[in-house]
Amino acid sequence: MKKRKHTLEIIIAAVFLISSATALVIHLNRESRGVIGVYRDGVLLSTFTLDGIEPLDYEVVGENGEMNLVHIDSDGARMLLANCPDKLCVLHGKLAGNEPIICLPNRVVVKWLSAAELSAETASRTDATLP
Amino acid sequence: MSRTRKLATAALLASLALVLHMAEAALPPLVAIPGIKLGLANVVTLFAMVTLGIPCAAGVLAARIFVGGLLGGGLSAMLYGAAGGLASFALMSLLCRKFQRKRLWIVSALCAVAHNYGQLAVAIAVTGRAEIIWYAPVLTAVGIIAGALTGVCATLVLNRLEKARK
Repeated sequence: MKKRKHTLEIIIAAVFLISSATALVIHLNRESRGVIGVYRDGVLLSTFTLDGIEPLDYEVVGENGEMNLVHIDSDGARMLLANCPDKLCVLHGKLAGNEPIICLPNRVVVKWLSAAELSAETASRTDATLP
Repeated sequence: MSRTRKLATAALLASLALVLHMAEAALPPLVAIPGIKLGLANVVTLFAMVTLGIPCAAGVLAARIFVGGLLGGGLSAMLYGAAGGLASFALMSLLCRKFQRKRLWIVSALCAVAHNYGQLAVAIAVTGRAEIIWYAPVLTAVGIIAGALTGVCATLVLNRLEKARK
């Protein structure tokens, strides 16, 4: 009985350590950099190639008055403004690791595009990069 | 416990959970990741399940999520709250009786992780982006810590109240 008691505790501690380590790896992993995609309701609205891009602010507007302002420069992207209640996406700061910037209330996602997504995107669009 | 007393206690606990829920929502977020919070109201749910049983605890939880949504985050908060609450409550009602009071924190930690996964699933469904799964490890780690803490709180509250009643 005593043995079983400790087993569960050790499992929980192990899961905690593994998940923290994985989270750290995800955060520090910056392989797929280069092109940023902005999504609303799961639909890709725009892609931005960062190489040599002029700093710009991209506005995402939803049907029910949702608004997000994404600032993009050669260093990455961040959410400048959002009219959602929690503003967690603004607090997220720069798009750093693999974790996308997410505005849950407005259903907006800003993320790095993977190589596969990129090739699918360029195939379906003629003008993939906005000025 | 008489039925009237049970009902009154459940109502009291529901309002207590609501106060904790609102007070926590008023605090600035610890980190800028959606869904990361302590979940103090979970203490009340655990307490209700141990002292009043599963049906009353379900009522307390449902009242907190519904009224909390009306007062604060609106429909989307209610949706996330319900998804997390349902996942966590299902697990809690399965595990609660199987653990001694001293080990309630284990139940609570597991439930917190279930809660986070429930919300993660809704987030993926709502935004339509599977990449949100990248948050799963963070949510697991934080869920274990937050759940363990609220579980310890629930154990302490249960012990104290038992002494006070004597």
